[in-house]
Amino acid sequence: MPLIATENLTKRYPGPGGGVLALDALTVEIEPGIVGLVGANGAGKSTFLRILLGLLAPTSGRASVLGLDTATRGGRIRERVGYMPEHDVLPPDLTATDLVAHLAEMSGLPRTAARERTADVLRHVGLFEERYRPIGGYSTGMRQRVKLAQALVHDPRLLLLDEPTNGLDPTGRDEMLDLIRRTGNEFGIAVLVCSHLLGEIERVCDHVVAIDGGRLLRSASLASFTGRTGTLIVEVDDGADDLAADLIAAGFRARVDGPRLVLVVAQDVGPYDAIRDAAATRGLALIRIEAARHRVEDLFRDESDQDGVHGTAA
Amino acid sequence: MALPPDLVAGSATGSIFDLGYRGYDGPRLGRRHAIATLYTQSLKWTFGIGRGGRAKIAPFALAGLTLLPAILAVGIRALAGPATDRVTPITPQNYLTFVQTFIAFFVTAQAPELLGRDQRHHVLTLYFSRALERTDYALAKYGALVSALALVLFVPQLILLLGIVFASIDLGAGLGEALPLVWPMVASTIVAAAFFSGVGLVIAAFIPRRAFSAGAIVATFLVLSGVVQVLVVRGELRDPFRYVALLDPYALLDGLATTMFGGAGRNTTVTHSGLDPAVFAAGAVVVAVATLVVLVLRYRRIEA
Repeated sequence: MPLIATENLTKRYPGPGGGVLALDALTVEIEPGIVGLVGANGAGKSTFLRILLGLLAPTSGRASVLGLDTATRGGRIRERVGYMPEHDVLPPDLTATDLVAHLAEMSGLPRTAARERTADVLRHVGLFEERYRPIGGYSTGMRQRVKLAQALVHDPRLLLLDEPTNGLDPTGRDEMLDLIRRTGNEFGIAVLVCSHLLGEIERVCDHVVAIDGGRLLRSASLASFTGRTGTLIVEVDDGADDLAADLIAAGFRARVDGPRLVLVVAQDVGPYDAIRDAAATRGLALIRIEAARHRVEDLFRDESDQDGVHGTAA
Repeated sequence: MALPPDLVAGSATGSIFDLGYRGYDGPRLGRRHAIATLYTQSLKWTFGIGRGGRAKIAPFALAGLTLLPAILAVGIRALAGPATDRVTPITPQNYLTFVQTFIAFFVTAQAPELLGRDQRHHVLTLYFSRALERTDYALAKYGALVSALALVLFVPQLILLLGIVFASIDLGAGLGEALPLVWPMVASTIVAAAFFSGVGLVIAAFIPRRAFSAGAIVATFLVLSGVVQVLVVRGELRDPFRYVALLDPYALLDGLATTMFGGAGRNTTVTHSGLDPAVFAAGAVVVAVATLVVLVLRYRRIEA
């Protein structure tokens, strides 16, 4: 049973001109792990999360989380799911301890357990020293940690994180991503991270779901589109044409890509020997040989090219 | 079991982060526990408990003021004997008219406190993504304020009743006088508490900014009652304009008390309007119920 499954999930916000279509017949299955949900701002990520939580009713289609239907079992889902919203949601006058403990009880934990878990998770997110200070005096990084702590405090089976690195400086970003990775890998909690920043998704996730305009672009393991493409990039100082010609003559598929680059299809180590031999016989200055890798951006580029749309990824 | 947090913090600081994550296998009490906790916490919050010293001043001062008429009445009765009802016109029947302004101020101070912060700082998102339902949130907050007001109103009336019982020469006669007052007292107090809470919370739910909602609540109780009273007394209104009197919140509550206890009302809007007090009583009940419905609907739709 998948962790999250949706079927033709559609959400249209009412408004002039037919309203805004936030999700357009989205069908996807998500398995446990650290899953990235990527898409530009306005791609429907937050809407997707809110439907999963049962906070928002879809216009049509179905969704289930932990095997529970979001339309009818929203309460049960929310008991076992932690949600970190994108925007600032913290009251400035409460201390982190008071807020998180209160919210733990709102998740159904008994009072003593709520207090214990609060101390535990605040320590995990690195807020132990400051936990008795009012949140109003916290930095953005500390606030993000409180938001993560309140999502973790009831030991959820699934964590939904909406742009968790929003507003953080590079150090804070690294620390937050590290926390997310640890939550997924060490704590054994499934995580769905929403982000418009592909670099972040690449760093923490092992599976990526890309959506654009409310539709599924692709859902695949990170490795499958950041792995080697089976192409070698060869850079030479001069004579790229000669090198390509030699390689083609040797029976490899190769083409010139710019004045200094040759791309070679390499299924095994064969081309390496051929490149060496060609460089040696022609006296070419070989600068580098590198295995080309897919990038997550390609996913948006390829798909959007097919659609004739450009610049969809942030 | 987890170590007490202080013990953990006291251990070598370098190892704090290496304790590892512990799951939670204990009981999950779910939605009912969440509602009960939110109710209790909000009730305490209404009296400033758990909010530091300054937050306690207004609720306790106002609650103290509502006691004064009762203490005064009991004191005079104890000194002068039971035949003093003409001397101290303070009775359970008209008690609310002596303290309604204090209650209005209590609601003005506390209703925005109960709802405004969670709206202003978008804390509702954190509530509604948990075991709690939207309706639960509204009902817990409403229940907390109704309970707080009922408490503030019951205590002085109880003193008044005990005063009647114990100032009597004969305990039996005292009980005979006091017991028939219990049911009307309980009923009118609960409706009055629901009325004040409903009006205050609906206003606070639609106006998140504290200063504005507090102003609107004060205006509704004090200004509206004043304006309507002037209109009714000076205006010599004829049908159907007489029913303007029903806009006076204090008139509704006085009509309620008159209907429950019997006898004559004190509120000039009621007496001058020429309408039956029962009409005002019905109006009070309608407002109490309608505001609760509006509050629940508001929280079902509110963005979070």
